[in-house]
Amino acid sequence: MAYQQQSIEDHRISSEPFYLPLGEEVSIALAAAARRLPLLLKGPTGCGKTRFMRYLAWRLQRPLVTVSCHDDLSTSDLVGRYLIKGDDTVWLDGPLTRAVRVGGICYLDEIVEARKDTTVVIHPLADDRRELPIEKRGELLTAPDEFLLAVSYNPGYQSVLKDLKPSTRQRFVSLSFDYPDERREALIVSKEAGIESSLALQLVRLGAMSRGLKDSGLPEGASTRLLIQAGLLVQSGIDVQTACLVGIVESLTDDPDLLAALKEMVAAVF
Amino acid sequence: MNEQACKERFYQLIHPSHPNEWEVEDLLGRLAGLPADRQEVLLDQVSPIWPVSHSLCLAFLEQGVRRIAVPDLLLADWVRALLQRYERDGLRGARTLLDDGGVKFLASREQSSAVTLEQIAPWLSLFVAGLAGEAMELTAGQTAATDTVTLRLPPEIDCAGDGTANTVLYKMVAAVHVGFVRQGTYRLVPGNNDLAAVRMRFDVTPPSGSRPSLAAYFALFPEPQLAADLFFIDECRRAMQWIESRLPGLARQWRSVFPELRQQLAVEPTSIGTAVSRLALAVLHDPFEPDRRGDPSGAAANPWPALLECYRQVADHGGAYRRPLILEMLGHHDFSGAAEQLETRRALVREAFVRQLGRLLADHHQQASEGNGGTADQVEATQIMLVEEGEQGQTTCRLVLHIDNENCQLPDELQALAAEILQDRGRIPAAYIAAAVGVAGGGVSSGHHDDADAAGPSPGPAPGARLVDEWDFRRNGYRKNWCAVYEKELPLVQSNFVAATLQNYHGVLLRLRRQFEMMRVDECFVGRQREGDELDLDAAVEARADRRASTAASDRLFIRLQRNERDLASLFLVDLSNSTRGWVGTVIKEALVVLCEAMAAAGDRYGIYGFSGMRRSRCELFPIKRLDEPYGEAVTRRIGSIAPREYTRLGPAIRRGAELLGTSDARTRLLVTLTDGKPEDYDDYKGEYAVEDTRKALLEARGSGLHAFGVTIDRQARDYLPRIFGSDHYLLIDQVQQLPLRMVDLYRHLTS
Repeated sequence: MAYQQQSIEDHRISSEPFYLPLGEEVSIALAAAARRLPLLLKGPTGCGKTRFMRYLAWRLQRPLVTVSCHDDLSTSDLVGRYLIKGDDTVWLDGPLTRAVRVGGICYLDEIVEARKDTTVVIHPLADDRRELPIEKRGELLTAPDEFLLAVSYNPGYQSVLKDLKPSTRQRFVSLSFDYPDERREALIVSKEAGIESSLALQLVRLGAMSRGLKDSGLPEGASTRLLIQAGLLVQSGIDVQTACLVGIVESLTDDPDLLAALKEMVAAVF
Repeated sequence: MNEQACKERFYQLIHPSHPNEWEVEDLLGRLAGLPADRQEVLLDQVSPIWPVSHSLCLAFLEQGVRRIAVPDLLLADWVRALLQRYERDGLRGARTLLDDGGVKFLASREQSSAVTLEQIAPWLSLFVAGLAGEAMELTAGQTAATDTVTLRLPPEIDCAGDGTANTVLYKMVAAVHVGFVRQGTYRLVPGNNDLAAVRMRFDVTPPSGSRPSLAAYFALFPEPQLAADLFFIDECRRAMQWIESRLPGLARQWRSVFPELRQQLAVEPTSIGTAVSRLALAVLHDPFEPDRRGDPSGAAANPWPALLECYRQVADHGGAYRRPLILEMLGHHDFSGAAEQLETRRALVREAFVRQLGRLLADHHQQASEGNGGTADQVEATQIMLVEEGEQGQTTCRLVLHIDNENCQLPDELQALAAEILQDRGRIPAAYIAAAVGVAGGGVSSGHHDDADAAGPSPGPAPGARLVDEWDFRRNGYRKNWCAVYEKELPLVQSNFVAATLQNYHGVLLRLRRQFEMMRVDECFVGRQREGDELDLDAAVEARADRRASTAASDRLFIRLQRNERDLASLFLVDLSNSTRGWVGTVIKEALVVLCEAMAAAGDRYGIYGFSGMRRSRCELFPIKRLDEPYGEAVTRRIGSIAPREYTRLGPAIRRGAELLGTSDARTRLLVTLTDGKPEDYDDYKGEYAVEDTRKALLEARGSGLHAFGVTIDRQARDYLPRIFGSDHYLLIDQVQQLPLRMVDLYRHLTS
């Protein structure tokens, strides 16, 4: 079996991703990148954090290596490991090491999901040392100026068992994301799903109504991503009410009362 | 079951009650004569009925032995109807529904197409929350109306021939009233010219000194109710236009049921009533006037001349005016309720705005005076202006504070408050800014006085008191050893409250226990262990590769099934203030029972303390379950004995609770506060002082490594909860009956 290191070129973003700036986030991120400061993106699910990173990578013309964190993620998974190849051993860089070597962007998505002992590995990278020690190889990588570390998390109702340690969070420039206002969200939905702006506006209104239930038992309302998803289904010929039910409502909750209310909202909006 | 078995089962079900045997002997004897499955079906209903009324329960069994027409599947519904009737009309009322064995119940069920608010409230309240953008409380009222915070809807709608149409009608009525709020109906006030026009038209002199208000305006008309109704119809038009543009789906549903309703509601006895009715129906049929279609904003700015003209035309029909049916169905405007809510809201916003702007100014000036050696008095002399920034014609504009030729951005919270004031009043009143300058200059806003002496000479604390500090935001410092906290034992009371709750929540508890047990069994296979049951192939390969590469290979090569201990301790602080009297208190008790059951399944360490008190010299904490105490009979008896007491001085309770929780060696510690309203005590502990002290107490708790969350049942809570607990650190419960489940869900969510 052949082990193949993924080419870093696979991580380069060739065409401009659609991103509608909502504030000063782009200029701040560019300034942070120029000053070699790491970024912390926080915001509810599906509000455009990952899309923002793709856009930033395109603006900076740097490869973007994304790692979705989970509680089984080990340090080796990030840094790299030796593998046996025939009679020989091969060192395989992990995603973090790869991004450091080539001066790319490493984006750790949902960082709070990773175990705390794993997250400490980024500490020396995220301060002015900008170093990544690879113990197994006895190597100390110093990140080039182009390397940018970014992490994200969703500060909504978080489990108290999964919180970002102050020692971790106090290394970052933090950008707060939220859902855009009605007009701009409609623009995004319309553009991304390729649907008419009037339909996009209706979807956005439905989304806003579902977010109004946040204090009534719904942990989080419909994200922009869900609205786009429903729009795409409509674009493929699915009836709009069905698309909203399967694309938004059922994905939000299992609670019978909330389901009934959301279904009524769909029926009322369309 | 034979007679003996029947008897045993019955006594088991009603434990701990124990009626005399001779009272039930005959009944149970006859019950034993029934087939076993009938016995089961009837006995299943004993638990819900017995706690409500023993006599009703016995009457039910009596009827059950004789004859029951209701099929088993509907038996629970019938019992629910019986209990409702009992609660409304007493035993005699319930017996009329019971004595025919359910024939009437079945008949009404089959015939009726009526929809009751109770049936649809669970989802309708959420639907309304979605429309309004924030939760509104739904209650039953004679006719529909809203004071902008509570929405009253009729308890039953039975206008149309089938249930679907009646449901649509419910939604429509709710949407129209939400529309009034969204369209700003309750902010409309006629100007002096409009009042003068009516006065001239009808040649009346208004009572002197009355401020222009809608009530005063309508009172000028010969038939005030008619004028109010015509205004109502015109506002319905705007609300319907809003619905047409925002909720086209609902508008379509409405059009499909409208013709039938029109027939039902069109007949009116008087000609003037018919005229009004016709107007209303026309609006409901098509809210767009031919020349106005495509202009959903409608003409709200000045509806008064048109109203006067419309009144003249309608009044020409002559005769006495009686409100037509169609309007009874749609409801009315609750101007006085809305005005009250608006005033409350304005006062809250004003207070918050003045406070925050004052702080901003004080900070600004402190910085400035540090720079040039000036004094704080100069705040008064500062030129302050709030300038709107943003392009002309743009809907959103940001306010910028202009101080001494310097521009200063407002923080988001203040920006939002300013936007709300602008929307409400059209400008920021100069008095607000003057008050903020006062706050910045004097450090204390008027209306507050130091209560150090006001509370009178306080007697020294009694033995057993724990003294805690209290935060005084006005002096920006603590009052040392200010409150005396006492731990007091709750009496152990024998009651069947816990048993009844367990029975009521039987199904829910099964589910919760399963969920919570899954949390306990946090088992997972962990790789890279020194010893274990299986070889970790990844680790083995890696070690082998490391050895080949001549680096030190790891000896952690095994996979082991690991049980993760949840190293977690929680403390729940429960508000026992007098305001929890009534069913709120009952639901809180139920929530504690459900919580204890769920926690027993999870196996987490937890404690529950009630708190109440009066003044700083007597803050009381009642242990319901101490942290290290097992959940047992003593705990359930204490829950049974919980009763509303005095006031909610939250700060000392949190400080003492945090202290108790701090003694636990758990790695993660969670402090959950359950209240039903603002922190408030008999003395000056209220308003901003209480909010700030509570906030400070929670900040201290967080500082000592605790996680603090709040659960609150209070409609007004949205105004102060974020300030106290911080965003995303609280849960607001609109419907009290949801408390037990929502609270347990919150815990599960926070700790998994």
